[in-house]
Parts: sequence; C-alpha cells; structure tokens
Amino acid sequence: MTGLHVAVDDDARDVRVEVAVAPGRTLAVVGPNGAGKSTLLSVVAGLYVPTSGRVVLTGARGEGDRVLTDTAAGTLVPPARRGVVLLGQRPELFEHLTVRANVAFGPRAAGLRRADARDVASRWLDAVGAQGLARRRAQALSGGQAQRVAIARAFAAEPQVVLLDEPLAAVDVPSVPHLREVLRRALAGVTALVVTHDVADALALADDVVVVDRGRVVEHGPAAEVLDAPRSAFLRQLPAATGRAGILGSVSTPGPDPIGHTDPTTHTGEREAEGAEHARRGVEEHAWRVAAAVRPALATLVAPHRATELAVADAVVDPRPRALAAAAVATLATPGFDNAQMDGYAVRAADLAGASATAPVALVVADPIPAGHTGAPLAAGTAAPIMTGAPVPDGADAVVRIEDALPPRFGQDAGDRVAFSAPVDAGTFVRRAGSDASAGDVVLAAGAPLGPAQLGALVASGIDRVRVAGAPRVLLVSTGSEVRGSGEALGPGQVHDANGASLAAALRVVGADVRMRTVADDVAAFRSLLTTPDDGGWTPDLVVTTGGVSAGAYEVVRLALGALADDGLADAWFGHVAMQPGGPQGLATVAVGHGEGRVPLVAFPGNPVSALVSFELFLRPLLADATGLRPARRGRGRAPLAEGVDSPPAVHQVRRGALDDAGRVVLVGGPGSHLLARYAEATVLVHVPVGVAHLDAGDEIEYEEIG
Amino acid sequence: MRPDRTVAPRLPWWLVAVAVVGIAFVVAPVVVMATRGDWAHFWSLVTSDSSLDALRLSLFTSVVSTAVCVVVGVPVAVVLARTRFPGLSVVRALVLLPLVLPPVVCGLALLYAFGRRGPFGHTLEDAGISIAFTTTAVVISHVFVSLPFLVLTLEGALKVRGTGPELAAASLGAGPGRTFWLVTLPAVAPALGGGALLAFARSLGEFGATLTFAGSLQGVTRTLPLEIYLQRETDPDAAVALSMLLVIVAVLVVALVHSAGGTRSFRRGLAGSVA
Repeated sequence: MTGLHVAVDDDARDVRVEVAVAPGRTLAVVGPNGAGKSTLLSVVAGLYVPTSGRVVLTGARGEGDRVLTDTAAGTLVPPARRGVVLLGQRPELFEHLTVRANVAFGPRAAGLRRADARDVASRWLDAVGAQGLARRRAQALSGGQAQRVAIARAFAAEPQVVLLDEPLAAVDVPSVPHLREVLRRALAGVTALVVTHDVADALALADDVVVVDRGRVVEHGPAAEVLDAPRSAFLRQLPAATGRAGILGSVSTPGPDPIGHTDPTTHTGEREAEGAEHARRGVEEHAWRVAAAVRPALATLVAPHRATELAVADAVVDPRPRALAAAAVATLATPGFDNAQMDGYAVRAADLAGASATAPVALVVADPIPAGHTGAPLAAGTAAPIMTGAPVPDGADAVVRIEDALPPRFGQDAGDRVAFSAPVDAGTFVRRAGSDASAGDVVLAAGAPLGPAQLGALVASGIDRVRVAGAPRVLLVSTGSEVRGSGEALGPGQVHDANGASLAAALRVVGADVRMRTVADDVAAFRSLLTTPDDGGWTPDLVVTTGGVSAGAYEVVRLALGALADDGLADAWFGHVAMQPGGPQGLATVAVGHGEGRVPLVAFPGNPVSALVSFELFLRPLLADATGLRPARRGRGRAPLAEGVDSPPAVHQVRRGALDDAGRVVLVGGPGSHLLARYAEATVLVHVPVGVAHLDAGDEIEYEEIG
Repeated sequence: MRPDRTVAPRLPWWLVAVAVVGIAFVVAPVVVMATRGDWAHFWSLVTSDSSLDALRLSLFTSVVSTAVCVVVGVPVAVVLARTRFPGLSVVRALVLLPLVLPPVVCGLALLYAFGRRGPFGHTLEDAGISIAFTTTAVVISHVFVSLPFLVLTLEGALKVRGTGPELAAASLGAGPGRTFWLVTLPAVAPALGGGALLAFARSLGEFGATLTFAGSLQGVTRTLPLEIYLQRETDPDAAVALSMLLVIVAVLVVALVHSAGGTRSFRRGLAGSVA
C-alpha cells in the first residue's frame, strides 16, 4: 500500500503546506474558504503546478517512492498516470453513458476486458447501494444518486490515493448521512485526502486532521483529539458557523433505507439486517454535536446577569461545585511581609562575610522571634533565633538554617554566642513580601473551579468575595403516561420515575439547578411545557428529556419537536447513535417560553440505564467544565477482563462493571439496558469500542470510574 | 400532448408585435413565390434533365462537403475551445472569416489558391490533378463557406460544457485519446449534429463562391442554385419551380435530422456504446 507526501510552496496563491498521509489512512484537511485546501488537492492531482513543490507516493508497491510532481527536477506525471483519483463536489458523471458504463470507465481505462470491467462496476454499485441504477442513464439521476455513483466510479478505478474535495457539499441535505456512511466504508484501508469544511465529515471519514488557514497548517493530529480540543481560531469558531447541516446534524429519517447499503470490503452485496444501520451516527460525532449545541448556552452562565457574588467563607462550606465568573484579583501581597523560610537564625549577611570552617564567626544571640510577632530590629553582630514563617526583623537580610549553626540547635539564651562556619548571601531563606502575589495580581483566572487549593489561595490573597458562574438551569422532563413520581401509588402498568430520579441526582452532583417535570405521552402537553413555563422567570439553560425518542408509534418528544420545527420554533435531529445501550438519541434547539433565543434540548432514551449512560457520555463532561466540578472527566484506565465479553461490532457498547481485588474488570449485569439496580452496584463503565465483537478474559479493556 | 398549464412570464406587447412583423418578413416572400409558381407543370419542370442533374449534384456535393466539414471542423473546434496559445483569438477570427466575406470573394480567393496558376493548384497540376471547374472545386467551395458554421456551433457547446468530465476521465486513468472519443465527442454529439445540419444547409444554398471558383457546367459544377439563376433568365416558371424544390429539400433534411438526432433512442444508442 502507498502513502502520500506532499509539500507545496506556492507564491501565486500564498500556500506553504506540507502534509503526509500514512498508507491506508485518511487525512482530513479542514479550514476556511481560500485557505489553500483545494490548491493542495490540485497539486496532488497534477492539475496545478506550484512555484515549488513535491508530490511523492511513498513506498509504492514495494518499489520505493514514486515521484509524481517535483518542480526542482521538472517532474510532472500527467493526471491519467498518477494513480490518483479526484472526487469533487460535483459528480461530473459522463452523462451520455449509463451508470454502469460510468463506473466501468476506470477499469476499462486500466485495460480490463469489458466483461471484467462490468463485474467490477457491479460490485462497486452494490457497495454504494446503487445497484438498482446500473442501467439508468447518468443524466437521469438525482444529485444524491449521482454522487453515490461518482463515489463508486472513483473507487472502482482502484487508485493508490483518493482525493475527496468537499464530497458531500453539493448533496441535498437528507442524503448526506447515507453518503457519508458510504464514503466511510469505502475509505477503509484506502490512502485518502479529504478536503472539507464540515467537522462531521472529518470526524466520520478521517483518521487524522490538519487545519489549514491562510495557506499554513495551524493544527494537526488525530481527528478525535483535534476536534475535541480545538486550538486554532478556525475550529474554535465552528459551533457558531458549522456548515449547511447545522450543528445538530441533518435530519435522518427512521425506517429502512430506500436503497440499502452493503460493505464494499466484502463485495457480497447482502443487505444489512437492520435497516437503520447506515444512519447511525458515531458516538464521537454525537458528543461533538451535543457539545456544539450546549456549550454556547453554558457560556452565558458567566455573563453579568447570571453570575452571582459569593462570600469566600460561604463558598468554603458550599456543597455545590463553583467556577469563577470573573478573575479574582489579590487585594494583599502574599506573603504580606518578609519571613523566614526555615527555622534558624536571622542574620546580617555582612557579619558573616569572612566566616570559614577554620575561622568561624561568632555572633551574640538576640531575643528569639516567634511567628505572629514583629521582633525588634536586628543589631549588627547579633543573630536572632527565628521560626519558619516568622517575620524577618529589620536589619536582618538572611536566615541561616539551624543545622548550619554552631551549636546546631536552639536553646541558647540571649547574650550567648553562636558561631557560623560559612558566609551567607543576602536573601537566603527569606521569602520576600509579595513574592507569591502582589496586590492587584490575578490569583485565579475566570473559569477557574473553586476547589480546595483555589479557595485557599483566595483567602491568602485577602479576597473575601468572588463572582461565580450561575448554576446551569436544567429542565428535566420525564415523558410517558405510565410514569409516576417516587412515593406515589402505582396503578396497573405504571412505573416510578427512576429515570428522573437518577438524572436529577446526576445533574445535582455536577452543580446544576434542576427542575423536574413529568409529562404524559401527549404532544400538546409537552409543547405547552416548553412554550408556556409557569416558573416565575426561571428559564432553563438546557432541557433534558427522557423517553419518546425512538422509532416507536407514539414518541412524544420526537413528535412534539417535529411539530415545533414545522412552526419554526425548533431545529431537531432524531436518530440512532452507534452505541449500546442508548441507541436512539435526539438533539434540538427549541424556543422556550418567551425567551428570545433557542435553548438546547438533549433527548435521551426512556430506559434508565440508557439515560444515565447517555448522560455520562454526552452531558456530564460539558456541565462539569461549566460548573467547576473537578475532575471534569471521569478517571479512565485499562485493565484486563475477568471474563469474556461479546458486543455487536457495529456499536460502541458501554457495560457496567467493577474492579476485583486482582484489579481485573468484572462485568455487573448483562448488556440489556433496563438493569438500573445492577448499575447501582457498578463502580466503572466499561467501553467496548466499535469493531470489537468479542474479547476474552485477560484482554485489556478501557474503563471509566463512576463510583 | 397534454396542455401546458404553466404560466409563462409575460412579454411587452411591442416586442411581440415586432416579432410578428419579423416572422412575416421571412415567411411572406416564400409564400408569395409559391403562389406565383406554375404548379400545373411543376413535375415536368423539375424533372427535366438539367434540373435533375442540378439536384443530384447539389445533394452529392452538399453531403460530401458536410462530411469533410465534420472531419476537419471537429478538431478545429476542439483546438479553439480547449487550448490556450497566444493569438488564439486572431486564429479564431480568421477561421470564421468566410462567414462575413461575400461569397464571390471566397470564390476568388479559392481560385487564386487552387486555380491552375495558384500555389496549391500548380502543385496539384504537376501531380496530374486539376481542380478548378470540377465537382471537387464545388465541394471545396462548399467546405470553405460551411466550415465556420460547424466550428462555431461545436466550439460554443464545448465551452459551455466545461472540462469537468474530461478532468474526471483523466483522473480515472484515461489518456487524451480515450477521453476524446469516449467522453468529449459523445457529449457534444447533439451540437455536432446541429453544426453539421447548418453546414449542409449552407452548402445546399451556396452560389457565389461556387460560380466564381467552379463555374457553371451542367452535371459537373452547376448546382441547383446556379441552375435556378440560369433558368431565371430564360424560364421564370422553371426557376420558381426549382426554388420550391430547394425549399422542399431543405425542409425535408431539417426534419429528418431533427427527428433522428433529437430522439432519445439516438442518444441511448450512444449511452450503451462503452460497456
């Protein structure tokens, strides 16, 4: 397999970029328009010759490197012989040909016989779910169909490197998730460069990401890492400016895919058992989208109208996590006075200038200086016993440790002699006033959590009041006609609101101000709860719902948000996330009450374990960041399994477990999602990633500490 | 056909009025001429030896010159549309010159180039080939005046299409030849058909260049328009009858090509030609 190395230094377009793609990996190039992304692709494709640059296929077919472009040597392999296929926004199908003839074009150009080329074409049409279109004329296809065929055509040519230039940008929104999945599968094991401005594409398609801005690489690394913790200005501003599909993601429809998808790597052409499989969104992508929707709302907590002033003394005993809304500025210097860093003698350094082992200098012992008192000024020729933290007297400019004195212990009376066998530099073992912080220094920056060390620093700096971020107001809505509150009598078929209880507690622990509501399976009731809150000015920063999100017949959250979206009062996404438990998820922004803006709404599935696991994955880290709960992330580790585990490879399975005495992971409860009582026994969540079908006892697995 | 119930955007009344006048201006003379014709003797007039000779010669030379136009014009159009070199616009203007030159001037130019004393004609003469005042001369004069029509039509179509499919084909590993035959040419086939039709029509009606360069020799160089001009001097009825014949032939050819080139079956034939 071939890797790719590209170096471009172009004056005309002011692009200086160097990227490398390892064999079989996909690199996403993201950045604003005009950043130089397309120039990079054009250079690789051989369609643009930069002022200076090299394009090399590294380790091509065991024959070493193959240079495609080298301006220094004057090398330019023509596009048809580079082994590089470029797939752009527009499918550019050959409209006079049939779909199959289009896909067979590459194999035919490579010299395959007509029948063989048709076989290859059929296989790739199967792979992209376009087998039904084979005999259609390319001209007669819809945009989504055409791009699907273009994908098949590109991969059927068996290129060594695939270049994708905004492959989904011109596709109508409902087709995007399907095509993204088609591409994701086709890219497995292929060396590829994807130019995109949609972070969802980068997350779904790429292993690694480089961010290019104004012709320079400003950020690079593994896709999930870079996108999860963006450093560049471009990525940071994205939640506000994410592409056409918006941050929620494009709306996916439930039910079977009208065309169907298969795995191109198997070429079996079998339809997948589960119709909605293709529409599954990755856990990372959903987490990113939830973050993009929720973070802006949480950012308002530090705004002047939400932040509150809090006495530091109260904060010390307050059980709720807090974060500073504004920087805390020291009113006192710390330390407030010069003090001794060691137990010993305060001396004048000048007195000991001639001291040596053979000629020690003897000084008269002065009155000892206790902590909390200012001693008398130190006279020349004297040494005052001093304890750590006690103020260094005027006149003294150094402290000699007691063990360096002769005799090396306290107990001398005033007027006795003490000898020193070495000189000392002025300032030795003296902590200068203000050496920790001067008055006016920022002790803690805005956003800092108020943990033990931070509260101590505030008190030490003389700060007695701070502005802290408001607690996030979370409206927690349990849906279902069968749900009753804790303590209420249950009728037939009714259940207690375990969901609400566990989520409310989880929200409280992270510092949220929670209001709980229960709504029957009644769209109108759910709507009115959102549109006419009767909470006296309390508008939520975030709405969390449980239940009513799956593809069942009567799913109140989904239906209500659909209706609100039709009225222009919400944008919503409902679909499957590739995880177990917790597959059906929803994400929306919705107008609440008479508020001007939209409030993010995160919809979790109705079953208790699913809801709690979803909270852990998608919401807890965001809320902890905002409220100052530390550590904001659960501790993670790897440990061997005490027993084997099976998992559907298509999903990220989250099992509950505990660590046994030998430090191995023991699973608690089965994979089923209803066993909340067993969850309660668990101390770790166990992550079985996508692609893993089975792990044996002794295999290492990642866990997350929850208790 | 179902009635079209869509509402077209409205046009200013004066524009429609001028259009009606314009259309009448084109149609009326032909209609008036038809009414003046001696229809009773139409058949005998158009089946005279000289008339049939002229008709046969006109069809033959027009078909041959159209074929030559396609063979020569496609490369010219592709080069003009798809290459960049200094002086491109000058070359284009020169190639299209016969469009604006008076046909007599075209004939004179051809005469000086291919006539017995012309540089090309002289060379050919030495090789034992004489062109002037032969059927070949008729074809040459037809090609000379018709070529710009085909080139212009095809070049426009190529430019409108852009080079996306060609870049895609190259990216899929197809060399320039394969790309031309399988991608570029089929895609502009309708425009090529249209251009060829225009070239054919221009050939059929060619008069001035042919008369100047090829002369008027019955059965050899006297095409239908020349025959009409000749008859007009002696037998106006015959001239009108031949004119009507030319009109009918032109209409038939346009209808024929339009129905073949415009149908889906024709395009579908192209669609299945690769795999």
